[in-house]
Amino acid sequence: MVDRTFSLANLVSSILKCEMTSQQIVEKAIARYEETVTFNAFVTLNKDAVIRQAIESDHRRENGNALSVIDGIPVAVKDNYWTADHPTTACSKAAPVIPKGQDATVVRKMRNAGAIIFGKTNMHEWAYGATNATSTIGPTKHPKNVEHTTGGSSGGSAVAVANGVVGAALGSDTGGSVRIPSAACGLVGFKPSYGRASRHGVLPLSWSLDAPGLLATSMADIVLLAPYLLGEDVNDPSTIGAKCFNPDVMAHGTKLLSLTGSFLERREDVEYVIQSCFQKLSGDFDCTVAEVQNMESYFAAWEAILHAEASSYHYELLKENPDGFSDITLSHLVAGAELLAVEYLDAQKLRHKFLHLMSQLFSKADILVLPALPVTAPKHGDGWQEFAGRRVTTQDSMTWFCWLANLAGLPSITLPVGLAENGFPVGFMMMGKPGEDEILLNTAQRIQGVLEYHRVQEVA
Amino acid sequence: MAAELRLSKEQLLRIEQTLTRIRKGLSALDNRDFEPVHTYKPFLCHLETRNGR
Repeated sequence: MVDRTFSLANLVSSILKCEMTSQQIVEKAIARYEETVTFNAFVTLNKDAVIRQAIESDHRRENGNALSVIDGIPVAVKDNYWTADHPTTACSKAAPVIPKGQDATVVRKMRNAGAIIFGKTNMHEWAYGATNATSTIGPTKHPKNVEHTTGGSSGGSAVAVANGVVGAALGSDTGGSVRIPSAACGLVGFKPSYGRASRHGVLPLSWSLDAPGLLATSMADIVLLAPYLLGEDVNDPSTIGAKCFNPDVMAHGTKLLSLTGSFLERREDVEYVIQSCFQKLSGDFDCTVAEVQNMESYFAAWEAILHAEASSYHYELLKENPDGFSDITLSHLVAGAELLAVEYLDAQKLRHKFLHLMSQLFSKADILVLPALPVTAPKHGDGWQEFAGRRVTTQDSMTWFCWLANLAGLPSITLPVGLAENGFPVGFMMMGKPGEDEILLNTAQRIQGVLEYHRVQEVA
Repeated sequence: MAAELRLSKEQLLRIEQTLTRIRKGLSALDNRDFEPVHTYKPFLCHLETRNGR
Protein backbone atom coordinates (compact mmCIF):
# COMPACT_ATOMS: atom_id res chain seq x y z
CA MET A 1 0.00 0.00 0.00
CA VAL A 2 2.69 2.51 1.04
CA ASP A 3 4.70 3.89 -1.88
CA ARG A 4 8.39 3.70 -0.90
CA THR A 5 9.73 4.84 -4.30
CA PHE A 6 10.25 8.30 -2.88
CA SER A 7 11.59 7.34 0.52
CA LEU A 8 14.09 9.84 1.87
CA ALA A 9 16.94 7.34 1.58
CA ASN A 10 16.12 6.65 -2.10
CA LEU A 11 15.88 10.36 -2.91
CA VAL A 12 19.17 11.14 -1.15
CA SER A 13 20.81 8.32 -3.10
CA SER A 14 19.35 9.59 -6.40
CA ILE A 15 20.69 13.10 -5.80
CA LEU A 16 24.13 11.89 -4.70
CA LYS A 17 24.41 9.69 -7.83
CA CYS A 18 23.24 12.64 -9.98
CA GLU A 19 20.29 10.53 -11.20
CA MET A 20 17.84 13.29 -10.27
CA THR A 21 18.02 16.97 -9.42
CA SER A 22 16.12 18.52 -6.55
CA GLN A 23 13.95 20.35 -9.09
CA GLN A 24 13.01 17.04 -10.76
CA ILE A 25 12.20 15.51 -7.36
CA VAL A 26 10.03 18.47 -6.42
CA GLU A 27 8.24 18.47 -9.80
CA LYS A 28 7.44 14.77 -9.33
CA ALA A 29 6.22 15.53 -5.80
CA ILE A 30 3.95 18.29 -7.12
CA ALA A 31 2.60 15.94 -9.81
CA ARG A 32 1.92 13.28 -7.15
CA TYR A 33 0.28 15.93 -4.95
CA GLU A 34 -2.06 16.81 -7.81
CA GLU A 35 -2.89 13.13 -8.50
CA THR A 36 -3.80 12.57 -4.85
CA VAL A 37 -5.41 15.90 -3.99
CA THR A 38 -8.76 14.22 -3.21
CA PHE A 39 -7.19 12.54 -0.15
CA ASN A 40 -7.11 15.99 1.44
CA ALA A 41 -3.57 15.68 2.79
CA PHE A 42 -2.54 19.31 2.27
CA VAL A 43 -3.98 22.61 3.47
CA THR A 44 -1.59 24.79 1.48
CA LEU A 45 1.19 24.25 -0.99
CA ASN A 46 3.17 27.25 -2.23
CA LYS A 47 4.46 25.72 -5.46
CA ASP A 48 6.54 28.77 -6.43
CA ALA A 49 8.34 28.78 -3.07
CA VAL A 50 8.94 25.05 -3.28
CA ILE A 51 10.37 25.15 -6.82
CA ARG A 52 12.51 28.18 -5.93
CA GLN A 53 14.01 26.28 -2.98
CA ALA A 54 14.74 23.30 -5.24
CA ILE A 55 16.51 25.47 -7.85
CA GLU A 56 18.62 27.06 -5.11
CA SER A 57 19.50 23.61 -3.80
CA ASP A 58 20.58 22.43 -7.26
CA HIS A 59 22.81 25.50 -7.63
CA ARG A 60 24.48 24.72 -4.30
CA ARG A 61 25.16 21.13 -5.36
CA GLU A 62 26.50 22.20 -8.76
CA ASN A 63 28.96 24.46 -6.94
CA GLY A 64 29.94 21.78 -4.43
CA ASN A 65 28.25 23.66 -1.58
CA ALA A 66 25.53 21.20 -0.53
CA LEU A 67 24.46 22.00 3.01
CA SER A 68 23.81 18.40 4.13
CA VAL A 69 22.67 15.01 2.84
CA ILE A 70 19.06 16.22 2.92
CA ASP A 71 19.79 19.31 0.83
CA GLY A 72 17.13 19.37 -1.90
CA ILE A 73 14.84 16.77 -0.29
CA PRO A 74 11.16 17.74 0.24
CA VAL A 75 9.62 17.37 3.71
CA ALA A 76 5.96 18.20 4.46
CA VAL A 77 5.00 20.08 7.63
CA LYS A 78 1.88 19.85 9.81
CA ASP A 79 -0.21 23.01 9.82
CA ASN A 80 0.54 23.80 13.48
CA TYR A 81 4.24 24.60 12.80
CA TRP A 82 5.25 28.15 11.94
CA THR A 83 6.59 28.29 8.40
CA ALA A 84 8.04 31.39 6.76
CA ASP A 85 6.63 30.68 3.30
CA HIS A 86 3.23 29.12 4.10
CA PRO A 87 0.40 30.31 6.37
CA THR A 88 -0.27 28.45 9.65
CA THR A 89 -3.92 27.90 10.58
CA ALA A 90 -4.06 24.78 12.82
CA CYS A 91 -7.01 23.93 10.52
CA SER A 92 -9.29 26.07 12.69
CA LYS A 93 -11.52 29.09 12.08
CA ALA A 94 -10.31 30.27 15.48
CA ALA A 95 -7.04 30.95 13.73
CA PRO A 96 -3.85 31.58 15.67
CA VAL A 97 -1.87 34.82 15.46
CA ILE A 98 1.46 33.88 13.90
CA PRO A 99 4.61 36.01 13.63
CA LYS A 100 5.27 36.75 9.96
CA GLY A 101 8.16 35.15 8.14
CA GLN A 102 9.28 32.86 10.96
CA ASP A 103 9.91 29.14 11.06
CA ALA A 104 9.46 26.84 14.03
CA THR A 105 12.89 25.78 15.34
CA VAL A 106 12.67 22.27 13.85
CA VAL A 107 11.55 23.66 10.47
CA ARG A 108 14.39 26.22 10.57
CA LYS A 109 16.95 23.49 11.29
CA MET A 110 15.71 21.46 8.33
CA ARG A 111 15.58 24.49 6.05
CA ASN A 112 19.12 25.47 7.11
CA ALA A 113 20.20 21.96 6.09
CA GLY A 114 18.70 22.58 2.63
CA ALA A 115 15.49 20.56 2.99
CA ILE A 116 12.58 21.79 0.87
CA ILE A 117 9.65 22.78 3.09
CA PHE A 118 6.92 21.17 1.00
CA GLY A 119 3.54 22.60 2.05
CA LYS A 120 1.38 22.38 5.14
CA THR A 121 -0.56 19.25 5.96
CA ASN A 122 -4.15 18.81 7.09
CA MET A 123 -4.72 18.10 10.79
CA HIS A 124 -7.40 17.70 13.41
CA GLU A 125 -8.39 21.22 14.54
CA TRP A 126 -5.66 22.55 16.87
CA ALA A 127 -4.38 18.93 17.18
CA TYR A 128 -7.27 18.47 19.62
CA GLY A 129 -8.48 15.06 18.45
CA ALA A 130 -7.18 11.79 17.06
CA THR A 131 -9.48 11.15 14.10
CA ASN A 132 -8.74 14.08 11.73
CA ALA A 133 -12.52 14.32 11.32
CA THR A 134 -12.59 18.00 12.36
CA SER A 135 -10.72 20.40 10.08
CA THR A 136 -11.52 23.56 8.12
CA ILE A 137 -10.84 21.66 4.88
CA GLY A 138 -12.59 18.44 5.90
CA PRO A 139 -11.21 15.06 6.95
CA THR A 140 -8.18 13.33 5.48
CA LYS A 141 -8.93 10.10 3.58
CA HIS A 142 -7.18 6.78 4.09
CA PRO A 143 -4.81 5.82 1.24
CA LYS A 144 -6.14 2.24 1.17
CA ASN A 145 -9.84 3.08 1.30
CA VAL A 146 -11.21 6.63 1.27
CA GLU A 147 -14.20 5.57 3.36
CA HIS A 148 -11.85 5.08 6.33
CA THR A 149 -10.17 7.66 8.54
CA THR A 150 -6.43 8.12 8.73
CA GLY A 151 -6.36 8.75 12.46
CA GLY A 152 -4.86 12.00 13.65
CA SER A 153 -4.12 14.60 14.52
CA SER A 154 -1.18 14.50 12.06
CA GLY A 155 -3.37 12.70 9.50
CA GLY A 156 -2.39 14.92 6.58
CA SER A 157 1.31 14.27 7.21
CA ALA A 158 0.60 10.52 7.21
CA VAL A 159 -1.35 10.63 3.93
CA ALA A 160 1.31 12.83 2.26
CA VAL A 161 3.96 10.19 3.08
CA ALA A 162 1.80 7.09 2.48
CA ASN A 163 0.74 8.40 -0.95
CA GLY A 164 4.37 9.00 -1.90
CA VAL A 165 4.12 12.79 -2.27
CA VAL A 166 7.00 13.25 0.17
CA GLY A 167 9.38 10.83 1.88
CA ALA A 168 8.83 12.26 5.36
CA ALA A 169 6.74 14.77 7.24
CA LEU A 170 6.67 16.61 10.55
CA GLY A 171 3.84 16.04 13.02
CA SER A 172 3.13 16.74 16.68
CA ASP A 173 2.15 14.28 19.42
CA THR A 174 0.27 14.99 22.67
CA GLY A 175 -1.48 11.64 23.09
CA GLY A 176 -0.35 9.80 19.97
CA SER A 177 -0.95 12.30 17.16
CA VAL A 178 2.18 11.20 15.27
CA ARG A 179 1.96 7.49 16.10
CA ILE A 180 -1.80 7.05 15.57
CA PRO A 181 -1.97 8.10 11.88
CA SER A 182 1.40 6.44 11.25
CA ALA A 183 0.05 3.12 12.55
CA ALA A 184 -3.30 3.52 10.79
CA CYS A 185 -1.59 4.25 7.43
CA GLY A 186 1.28 1.72 7.66
CA LEU A 187 4.13 4.13 8.44
CA VAL A 188 6.88 4.60 11.01
CA GLY A 189 6.04 7.37 13.51
CA PHE A 190 8.48 8.71 16.11
CA LYS A 191 7.77 10.84 19.18
CA PRO A 192 10.95 11.85 21.04
CA SER A 193 11.41 12.13 24.81
CA TYR A 194 9.85 15.17 26.45
CA GLY A 195 12.52 17.88 26.48
CA ARG A 196 14.72 16.39 23.73
CA ALA A 197 13.11 18.30 20.85
CA SER A 198 12.09 21.93 20.59
CA ARG A 199 8.41 22.90 20.45
CA HIS A 200 9.26 26.55 19.72
CA GLY A 201 6.95 27.61 16.90
CA VAL A 202 4.75 24.54 17.22
CA LEU A 203 1.32 25.68 18.40
CA PRO A 204 0.69 24.14 21.83
CA LEU A 205 -2.11 21.78 22.73
CA SER A 206 -0.94 20.77 26.21
CA TRP A 207 2.56 22.00 27.00
CA SER A 208 3.56 19.31 29.47
CA LEU A 209 2.50 16.52 27.08
CA ASP A 210 3.37 17.94 23.63
CA ALA A 211 6.26 16.74 21.46
CA PRO A 212 7.14 17.31 17.80
CA GLY A 213 7.65 14.15 15.77
CA LEU A 214 8.47 12.49 12.46
CA LEU A 215 6.52 10.29 10.03
CA ALA A 216 8.31 8.27 7.31
CA THR A 217 8.19 4.95 5.49
CA SER A 218 11.25 3.41 7.15
CA MET A 219 13.51 3.57 10.18
CA ALA A 220 16.40 4.68 7.97
CA ASP A 221 14.46 7.83 7.08
CA ILE A 222 13.63 8.58 10.71
CA VAL A 223 17.33 8.27 11.63
CA LEU A 224 18.24 10.54 8.71
CA LEU A 225 16.04 13.33 10.13
CA ALA A 226 16.62 12.74 13.86
CA PRO A 227 19.59 15.18 14.01
CA TYR A 228 17.28 18.02 12.98
CA LEU A 229 14.65 17.08 15.54
CA LEU A 230 16.69 16.48 18.70
CA GLY A 231 18.74 18.99 20.66
CA GLU A 232 18.69 22.08 22.86
CA ASP A 233 16.87 25.25 21.86
CA VAL A 234 17.04 28.38 24.01
CA ASN A 235 13.55 29.27 22.80
CA ASP A 236 12.05 26.14 24.41
CA PRO A 237 13.04 25.99 28.09
CA SER A 238 12.03 22.34 28.36
CA THR A 239 15.01 21.48 26.13
CA ILE A 240 17.70 23.19 28.20
CA GLY A 241 20.52 20.67 28.55
CA ALA A 242 19.03 18.38 25.86
CA LYS A 243 21.59 16.35 23.93
CA CYS A 244 21.82 16.44 20.16
CA PHE A 245 21.17 13.18 18.32
CA ASN A 246 24.21 10.97 18.79
CA PRO A 247 24.72 8.59 15.82
CA ASP A 248 27.63 6.92 17.65
CA VAL A 249 25.33 5.30 20.22
CA MET A 250 25.33 1.64 19.18
CA ALA A 251 23.44 0.16 22.13
CA HIS A 252 20.00 -1.32 21.59
CA GLY A 253 17.42 -2.92 23.84
CA THR A 254 17.40 -6.68 24.26
CA LYS A 255 14.52 -7.10 26.74
CA LEU A 256 11.02 -6.37 25.44
CA LEU A 257 8.14 -6.21 27.90
CA SER A 258 4.62 -6.47 26.52
CA LEU A 259 2.02 -4.67 28.65
CA THR A 260 -1.48 -6.06 29.29
CA GLY A 261 -4.32 -5.48 31.73
CA SER A 262 -7.61 -3.72 32.16
CA PHE A 263 -7.94 -0.66 29.88
CA LEU A 264 -5.17 -2.06 27.66
CA GLU A 265 -7.41 -4.45 25.71
CA ARG A 266 -7.21 -4.74 21.94
CA ARG A 267 -9.15 -6.40 19.12
CA GLU A 268 -8.37 -10.04 18.46
CA ASP A 269 -7.07 -9.62 14.92
CA VAL A 270 -4.75 -6.81 16.05
CA GLU A 271 -3.45 -8.96 18.91
CA TYR A 272 -2.84 -11.81 16.45
CA VAL A 273 -0.49 -9.63 14.38
CA ILE A 274 1.34 -8.42 17.52
CA GLN A 275 1.76 -11.97 18.83
CA SER A 276 3.08 -13.12 15.45
CA CYS A 277 5.74 -10.40 15.76
CA PHE A 278 6.71 -11.54 19.23
CA GLN A 279 7.13 -15.10 17.95
CA LYS A 280 9.48 -13.89 15.22
CA LEU A 281 11.42 -11.66 17.62
CA SER A 282 11.78 -14.27 20.37
CA GLY A 283 14.96 -15.67 18.82
CA ASP A 284 16.75 -12.32 19.03
CA PHE A 285 15.07 -10.63 22.02
CA ASP A 286 14.06 -11.60 25.53
CA CYS A 287 10.27 -11.16 25.30
CA THR A 288 8.12 -11.15 28.45
CA VAL A 289 4.68 -9.96 29.53
CA ALA A 290 3.57 -7.80 32.48
CA GLU A 291 0.06 -7.00 33.67
CA VAL A 292 -0.30 -3.41 34.84
CA GLN A 293 -2.99 -1.89 37.10
CA ASN A 294 -4.92 1.36 37.48
CA MET A 295 -4.76 2.41 33.82
CA GLU A 296 -8.21 4.01 34.07
CA SER A 297 -6.91 6.45 36.70
CA TYR A 298 -3.72 7.26 34.83
CA PHE A 299 -5.70 7.84 31.64
CA ALA A 300 -7.92 10.24 33.61
CA ALA A 301 -4.79 12.07 34.78
CA TRP A 302 -3.60 12.41 31.18
CA GLU A 303 -7.02 13.65 30.07
CA ALA A 304 -7.31 16.16 32.96
CA ILE A 305 -3.86 17.62 32.21
CA LEU A 306 -4.64 17.75 28.47
CA HIS A 307 -7.94 19.63 28.85
CA ALA A 308 -6.76 21.95 31.65
CA GLU A 309 -3.60 23.05 29.83
CA ALA A 310 -5.40 23.40 26.48
CA SER A 311 -8.11 25.54 28.12
CA SER A 312 -5.50 27.72 29.77
CA TYR A 313 -3.74 28.28 26.43
CA HIS A 314 -6.97 29.07 24.56
CA TYR A 315 -8.80 30.91 27.36
CA GLU A 316 -8.74 34.41 25.84
CA LEU A 317 -9.52 33.16 22.32
CA LEU A 318 -12.35 31.08 23.78
CA LYS A 319 -13.94 34.20 25.28
CA GLU A 320 -13.32 36.38 22.21
CA ASN A 321 -14.26 33.96 19.43
CA PRO A 322 -15.95 30.82 20.75
CA ASP A 323 -17.76 30.29 17.42
CA GLY A 324 -14.39 29.92 15.70
CA PHE A 325 -13.92 26.52 17.35
CA SER A 326 -15.79 23.45 16.18
CA ASP A 327 -18.52 22.09 18.50
CA ILE A 328 -16.35 19.25 19.80
CA THR A 329 -13.23 21.36 20.37
CA LEU A 330 -15.35 23.95 22.17
CA SER A 331 -16.75 21.19 24.44
CA HIS A 332 -13.22 19.97 25.27
CA LEU A 333 -12.07 23.52 26.08
CA VAL A 334 -15.06 24.24 28.31
CA ALA A 335 -14.56 20.91 30.11
CA GLY A 336 -10.95 21.92 30.77
CA ALA A 337 -12.07 25.29 32.10
CA GLU A 338 -14.55 23.60 34.45
CA LEU A 339 -11.86 21.44 36.07
CA LEU A 340 -10.76 22.63 39.51
CA ALA A 341 -7.17 23.61 40.24
CA VAL A 342 -7.19 20.84 42.86
CA GLU A 343 -8.15 18.30 40.21
CA TYR A 344 -5.35 19.42 37.89
CA LEU A 345 -2.85 19.13 40.75
CA ASP A 346 -4.22 15.71 41.72
CA ALA A 347 -3.70 14.66 38.10
CA GLN A 348 -0.08 15.81 38.34
CA LYS A 349 0.36 13.80 41.55
CA LEU A 350 -1.10 10.76 39.82
CA ARG A 351 1.34 11.37 36.99
CA HIS A 352 4.17 11.18 39.53
CA LYS A 353 2.85 7.81 40.70
CA PHE A 354 2.67 6.69 37.08
CA LEU A 355 6.36 7.57 36.68
CA HIS A 356 7.14 5.23 39.57
CA LEU A 357 5.22 2.46 37.79
CA MET A 358 7.17 3.09 34.59
CA SER A 359 10.46 3.00 36.54
CA GLN A 360 9.50 -0.39 37.98
CA LEU A 361 8.70 -1.73 34.51
CA PHE A 362 12.00 -0.41 33.13
CA SER A 363 13.84 -2.29 35.88
CA LYS A 364 12.65 -5.48 34.14
CA ALA A 365 13.05 -4.44 30.51
CA ASP A 366 14.68 -2.02 28.08
CA ILE A 367 11.64 -1.44 25.90
CA LEU A 368 7.90 -1.51 26.70
CA VAL A 369 5.64 -2.79 23.92
CA LEU A 370 1.97 -2.30 23.01
CA PRO A 371 0.04 -2.16 19.76
CA ALA A 372 -0.17 1.46 18.60
CA LEU A 373 -3.95 1.07 18.25
CA PRO A 374 -6.44 -1.48 19.64
CA VAL A 375 -8.28 -1.46 16.28
CA THR A 376 -7.48 -0.66 12.66
CA ALA A 377 -8.37 2.58 10.83
CA PRO A 378 -12.10 3.14 11.54
CA LYS A 379 -14.69 4.17 8.96
CA HIS A 380 -15.61 7.85 8.68
CA GLY A 381 -18.59 8.56 10.90
CA ASP A 382 -18.15 5.52 13.15
CA GLY A 383 -18.59 7.06 16.60
CA TRP A 384 -17.83 3.90 18.57
CA GLN A 385 -15.41 0.97 18.51
CA GLU A 386 -16.02 -2.39 20.15
CA PHE A 387 -13.23 -4.75 21.18
CA ALA A 388 -12.60 -7.29 23.93
CA GLY A 389 -15.95 -6.56 25.57
CA ARG A 390 -15.44 -2.81 25.63
CA ARG A 391 -17.39 -0.12 23.79
CA VAL A 392 -15.41 3.12 23.61
CA THR A 393 -15.65 6.23 21.46
CA THR A 394 -13.55 6.15 18.29
CA GLN A 395 -11.61 9.13 19.70
CA ASP A 396 -10.68 7.19 22.87
CA SER A 397 -9.85 4.07 20.86
CA MET A 398 -7.26 6.05 18.91
CA THR A 399 -5.40 7.27 22.02
CA TRP A 400 -6.01 3.97 23.92
CA PHE A 401 -2.29 3.09 24.25
CA CYS A 402 -0.41 6.12 22.98
CA TRP A 403 -1.07 8.48 25.94
CA LEU A 404 1.24 6.45 28.22
CA ALA A 405 4.37 7.79 26.53
CA ASN A 406 3.14 11.40 26.74
CA LEU A 407 2.17 11.18 30.41
CA ALA A 408 5.64 9.83 31.28
CA GLY A 409 7.58 11.85 28.66
CA LEU A 410 9.00 8.66 27.09
CA PRO A 411 10.38 8.35 23.56
CA SER A 412 8.06 6.16 21.52
CA ILE A 413 7.88 4.76 18.02
CA THR A 414 5.46 2.71 15.98
CA LEU A 415 6.53 0.31 13.23
CA PRO A 416 4.21 -1.17 10.59
CA VAL A 417 4.37 -4.93 11.19
CA GLY A 418 1.58 -6.46 9.16
CA LEU A 419 -2.04 -6.33 8.12
CA ALA A 420 -5.10 -7.29 10.13
CA GLU A 421 -7.75 -9.59 8.65
CA ASN A 422 -9.46 -6.60 7.01
CA GLY A 423 -6.26 -5.65 5.18
CA PHE A 424 -5.53 -2.51 7.20
CA PRO A 425 -2.10 -1.97 8.80
CA VAL A 426 -1.19 -2.76 12.41
CA GLY A 427 1.47 -0.78 14.30
CA PHE A 428 3.91 -2.25 16.85
CA MET A 429 4.54 0.50 19.40
CA MET A 430 7.64 0.69 21.59
CA MET A 431 8.50 3.02 24.46
CA GLY A 432 12.07 3.59 25.65
CA LYS A 433 13.58 5.08 28.77
CA PRO A 434 13.38 8.88 28.94
CA GLY A 435 16.28 10.53 27.14
CA GLU A 436 17.38 7.25 25.53
CA ASP A 437 15.95 8.05 22.12
CA GLU A 438 18.97 6.65 20.27
CA ILE A 439 18.59 3.28 22.01
CA LEU A 440 14.89 3.19 21.11
CA LEU A 441 15.70 4.00 17.47
CA ASN A 442 18.46 1.37 17.34
CA THR A 443 16.09 -1.23 18.81
CA ALA A 444 13.39 -0.34 16.31
CA GLN A 445 15.88 -0.65 13.44
CA ARG A 446 16.94 -4.05 14.70
CA ILE A 447 13.33 -5.18 15.06
CA GLN A 448 12.53 -3.97 11.56
CA GLY A 449 15.52 -5.96 10.31
CA VAL A 450 14.48 -9.18 12.08
CA LEU A 451 10.89 -8.89 10.85
CA GLU A 452 12.09 -8.18 7.31
CA TYR A 453 14.32 -11.28 7.44
CA HIS A 454 11.32 -13.41 8.44
CA ARG A 455 9.17 -11.83 5.71
CA VAL A 456 11.77 -12.68 3.07
CA GLN A 457 12.08 -16.24 4.43
CA GLU A 458 8.29 -16.67 4.24
CA VAL A 459 8.18 -15.42 0.65
CA ALA A 460 11.10 -17.67 -0.32
CA MET B 1 -17.44 29.30 31.46
CA ALA B 2 -20.18 26.89 30.35
CA ALA B 3 -22.83 29.35 31.54
CA GLU B 4 -21.31 32.27 29.55
CA LEU B 5 -21.39 30.42 26.25
CA ARG B 6 -24.59 29.41 24.51
CA LEU B 7 -23.87 25.71 24.29
CA SER B 8 -26.13 23.08 22.78
CA LYS B 9 -27.60 20.21 24.81
CA GLU B 10 -25.23 17.89 23.01
CA GLN B 11 -22.21 19.98 23.97
CA LEU B 12 -23.33 20.21 27.59
CA LEU B 13 -23.79 16.44 27.69
CA ARG B 14 -20.34 15.89 26.20
CA ILE B 15 -18.78 18.22 28.80
CA GLU B 16 -20.59 16.45 31.64
CA GLN B 17 -19.48 13.03 30.36
CA THR B 18 -15.85 14.20 30.06
CA LEU B 19 -15.80 15.64 33.58
CA THR B 20 -17.53 12.57 35.04
CA ARG B 21 -15.03 10.25 33.39
CA ILE B 22 -12.04 12.30 34.60
CA ARG B 23 -13.38 12.62 38.16
CA LYS B 24 -14.20 8.90 38.33
CA GLY B 25 -10.69 8.03 37.21
CA LEU B 26 -8.95 10.51 39.51
CA SER B 27 -10.93 9.39 42.54
CA ALA B 28 -10.48 5.67 41.88
CA LEU B 29 -7.11 5.79 43.64
CA ASP B 30 -6.65 7.07 47.20
CA ASN B 31 -4.30 10.00 46.64
CA ARG B 32 -3.45 10.69 50.30
CA ASP B 33 -0.13 8.89 50.03
CA PHE B 34 0.83 10.54 46.74
CA GLU B 35 3.89 12.74 46.79
CA PRO B 36 3.29 16.44 46.18
CA VAL B 37 4.51 17.52 42.77
CA HIS B 38 6.17 20.80 41.95
CA THR B 39 4.73 21.74 38.61
CA TYR B 40 6.77 24.95 38.49
CA LYS B 41 10.39 24.62 37.47
CA PRO B 42 12.46 27.81 37.21
CA PHE B 43 13.77 27.59 33.67
CA LEU B 44 16.81 29.80 34.07
CA CYS B 45 19.21 26.89 34.02
CA HIS B 46 21.72 28.68 31.79
CA LEU B 47 22.01 31.44 34.42
CA GLU B 48 22.23 29.13 37.41
CA THR B 49 25.33 27.76 39.07
CA ARG B 50 25.08 24.28 40.50
CA ASN B 51 24.39 24.36 44.26
CA GLY B 52 24.82 28.11 44.25
CA ARG B 53 28.53 27.96 43.50
